[in-house]
Amino acid sequence: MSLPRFTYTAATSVEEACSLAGSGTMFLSGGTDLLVSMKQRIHAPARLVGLAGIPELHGVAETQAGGLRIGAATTITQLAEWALTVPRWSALGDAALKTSSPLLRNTGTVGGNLCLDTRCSFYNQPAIFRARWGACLKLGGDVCHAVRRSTTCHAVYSGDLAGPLMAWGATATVAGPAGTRTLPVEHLFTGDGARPCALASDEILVRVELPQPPPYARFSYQKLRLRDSIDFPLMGVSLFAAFDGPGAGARCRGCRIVLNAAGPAPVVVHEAGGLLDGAVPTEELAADLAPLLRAEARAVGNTAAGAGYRIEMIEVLVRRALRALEG
Amino acid sequence: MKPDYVNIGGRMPRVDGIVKAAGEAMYAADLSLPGMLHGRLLRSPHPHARILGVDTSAAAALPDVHAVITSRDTSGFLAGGIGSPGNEPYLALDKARFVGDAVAAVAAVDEETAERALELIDVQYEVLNPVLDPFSAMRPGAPLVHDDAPGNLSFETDLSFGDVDDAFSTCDYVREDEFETAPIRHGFIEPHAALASWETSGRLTFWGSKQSPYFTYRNMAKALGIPMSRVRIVQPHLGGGFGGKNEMFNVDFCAALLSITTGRPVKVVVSQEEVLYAYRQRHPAWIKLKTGFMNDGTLVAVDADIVADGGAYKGIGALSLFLMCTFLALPYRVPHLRAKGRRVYTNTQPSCAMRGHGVPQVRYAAEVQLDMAASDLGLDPLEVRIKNAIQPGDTTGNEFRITSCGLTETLVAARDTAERWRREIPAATEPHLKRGIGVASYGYVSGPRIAGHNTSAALIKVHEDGRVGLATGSSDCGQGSSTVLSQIAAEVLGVRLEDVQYASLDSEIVPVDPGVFGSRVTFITGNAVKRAAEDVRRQLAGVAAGILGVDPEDLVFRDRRVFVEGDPERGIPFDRLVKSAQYSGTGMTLLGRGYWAPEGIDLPRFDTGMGNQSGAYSFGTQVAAVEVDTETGRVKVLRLAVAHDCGQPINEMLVEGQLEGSSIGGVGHTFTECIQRRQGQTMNASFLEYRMPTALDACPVESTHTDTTDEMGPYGAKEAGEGVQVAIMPALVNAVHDAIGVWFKRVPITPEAVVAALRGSSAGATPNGGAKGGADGDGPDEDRGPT
Repeated sequence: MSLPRFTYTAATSVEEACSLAGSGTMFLSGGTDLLVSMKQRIHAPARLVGLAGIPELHGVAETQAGGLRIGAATTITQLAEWALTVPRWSALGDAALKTSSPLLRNTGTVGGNLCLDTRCSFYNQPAIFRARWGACLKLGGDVCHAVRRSTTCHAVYSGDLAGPLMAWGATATVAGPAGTRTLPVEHLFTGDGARPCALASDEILVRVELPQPPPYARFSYQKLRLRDSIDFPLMGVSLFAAFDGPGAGARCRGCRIVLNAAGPAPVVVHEAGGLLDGAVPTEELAADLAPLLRAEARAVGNTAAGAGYRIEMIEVLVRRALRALEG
Repeated sequence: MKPDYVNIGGRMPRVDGIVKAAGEAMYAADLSLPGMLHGRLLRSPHPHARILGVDTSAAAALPDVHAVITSRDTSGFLAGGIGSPGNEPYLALDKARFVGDAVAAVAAVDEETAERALELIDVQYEVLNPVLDPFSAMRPGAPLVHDDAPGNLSFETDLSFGDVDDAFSTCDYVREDEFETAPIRHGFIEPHAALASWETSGRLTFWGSKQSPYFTYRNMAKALGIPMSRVRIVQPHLGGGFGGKNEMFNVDFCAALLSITTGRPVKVVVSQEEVLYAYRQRHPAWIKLKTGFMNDGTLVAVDADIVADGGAYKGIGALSLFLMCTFLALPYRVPHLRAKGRRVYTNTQPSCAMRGHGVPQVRYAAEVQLDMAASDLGLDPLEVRIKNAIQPGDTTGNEFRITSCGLTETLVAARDTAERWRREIPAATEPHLKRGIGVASYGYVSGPRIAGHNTSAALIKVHEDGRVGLATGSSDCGQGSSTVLSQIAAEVLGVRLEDVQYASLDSEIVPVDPGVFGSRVTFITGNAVKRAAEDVRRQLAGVAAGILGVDPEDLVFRDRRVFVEGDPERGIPFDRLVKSAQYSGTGMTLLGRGYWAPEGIDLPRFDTGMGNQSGAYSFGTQVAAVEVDTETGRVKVLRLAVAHDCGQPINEMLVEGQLEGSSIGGVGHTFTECIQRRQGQTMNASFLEYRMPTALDACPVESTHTDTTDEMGPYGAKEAGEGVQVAIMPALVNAVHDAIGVWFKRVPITPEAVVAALRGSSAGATPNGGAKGGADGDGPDEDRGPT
């Protein structure tokens, strides 16, 4: 399986990269997802603009305000290795290690995982599949192979880092021809499975920034998958909470719960976070939280496990996240 | 006491270890020749379609395209079909019979041009209704995959001995269950690849990824209509086979025919995606099994009705079905047995041999049912196995003659392991985790005879510096046979393993070999190597006897010296002896030859399942410990152990590697691996979505050798590593039952099936008739798809 023919330009600055954007051009970061799609002829860009050589996109460092700044081209391994050595960020490191496999984390980047294309059993297929069934909505066709008669695309956002970053309240800095803008990470996602990323074609993600964690913050990312070694999430629950003190009896003071791999975009389930506010987290609360998360899930039969099972597992993941936060 | 071997039994490094670790080993896809073209194959996107016409003119007119071929350019040779004529064309003739069936092939200056040319080929298809599972295929009026196979019946085996019906009436306890296994993959990492070079003189040289190169040697000659001796097969290093690279495939044929057509060397390398959707699979099987016991656990009678999905073509499926039936007679004493098997055509990828070859499917059913029966009878399933274990000297009702047999010893060792684990593995601390231990046993062949030719052979050349070149027709597909065979040669000649150079296989001079299947290489080729080495040793002993003034019979060859037995000082270094032999008088050329096949092995009677298949049978018992997450339904395998009887291990490290790889492969078969199809379309044609366990998913595997020596095996060795795949599935399924009290009669046991079973729904725990119920395939998405 060979790559389609394309030209490659290695950008050396954010401005240069943005100026090279245009029809038929795609940005290449780690390439662990894009190159596979190109081999399957899902994408056939005439030009790839490499982002790895832009110094500004690299590095993990604490900000003067006590937050964390992560360059978009930082590999997931680099993030994990840095975060695991710093106690207040180590939970983020643990979450990063749940992404894919060691080899792919060595190449795949934080920005690439955030801007990951949505996935679907009927979309991530070789050309012979389309020769028989035709192009789906996501490929410009007029049919959804996953849900008959659907007029919207149900491809699933399957990145791992978006959930944890959204739960931590991270922001994204995006550069384009008109300069840079900063937005909450959740605004990177359109909610449309066919065009999941909210960035314009000439914009690139420069970095994400996490605010300084409040005192006594706790975090857990629970991921459902079939093999722990490599698989994309089939469902994910991230739970970030500040507490009013240390130890087991402490109460939540501000909490964000994010559901990922449940539909075309990761979602902050604000009601669920609100429900937990002021409470001492216990496993029993899962029964109250889970319906709020389930209401946000848009699972259909287009992944490696059935939709009903994935939805059913939300409560299990919430329970485990709560248990992890019990302290 | 065992003899004091120098090169046998220890932990010795692989002879191909360094070239592989250094990245220097050349595989078929690595090779290139001057002027070489690249070939690609056009495949049918339809599971069943009549080919009304193929217009190749636009593709042929594309610059840098050198040839486009279709079945019109072939002789129409039909491959496969041991025991009966084959029915698989290398390029589809009248019909495409599965998604991925090859219709045309192109040779161009590069792959990109070849791929563009494929897009320009216009195939007129008349799409036909496909049959996608064997039960729909057998219904009256179902579309026929092959017009000459009514009912889509590919092959039948009807094995019977004793008086089954009468025996059941005497049993205290009889139970009947239905089991089902899913289609799975071999999972080799090196894809199919072939490089062919045609010479105007009429000779073809072929380098390919072939597990059994002489299958290709014979079929290539027949398909091209040239004498076999004009086909030269050279075997590069192989990246795994597991039964999926025995046969000659369209990729091999097209490389050759494109080379003949263009007059240039042509290489065809298929993608891993194509391997996964357009090549072979393990037969999925549906097994109705009825077994009768006495109250004390004595096994009395077995009655089985087996349906195997053969996919689109015959291939070597008659053997697969034969093995499914005959291995109901091992590894326990079964006085009365009836096994009816039907292999059925469907419009899916052809099924073939895969590690264990048909036996894992039926033994999964039998070994789980044995535990179910023991549970009902209030007996320890391990004791039931010991009670019924086959013994040395037994002959089964279908004429398997059991010689060396350590099954009972493996069961006793497994009992010790299980007891130790129950002490060592603590109960899970979290209430949703449940742990359990299960066992299952196996018996397996050391090289079955499948056709007339069953003889392996070896050639040895001794270099004048005392090094030894060894060549056989058995290729090493990663299992380590080149190391084992080199050890045998080194032991006979009294040199060291590093003194033996294992030559690459070249059919020009290397003797013909039946093939690398059925765990035959150590046992059969090993004996041939031993004889070839003995032949050279005899020649050298004659020279040494003259120099030392003793009888040749009194000489010892050991550690690079030849000396008089009992008087080690009176001797001569091996390399000096070689020189003396070559340089003295008229001189000698030191070449050894040896060939061997076990005597008294019957030609298989595929229809009746009768006949002794092998010169020796191996045995073993698998122990598995699992942890079931009762909330998510995921099962984690904590530990595996194999107590096994492979006779004398030639290389303990390689035996362990075989046991580990085979066991972990079985873990995938049991829990995560399944070809998902949607209306005949393979939906998970990638190693991301086709979930084999990776190294990170593997668990520790313990192994215990029981101490038997096989009288026929070289240095007492028998099969190792294939048989264990027979017992791993049932051991795991029995362990899951031990943990959560649910019997799973369908594999793989998915998390969804576990959750459903624990909820009390029967969906996962009993055969849900994935194929019987839903005609559209066996994927989770079968009811939501292209309309």
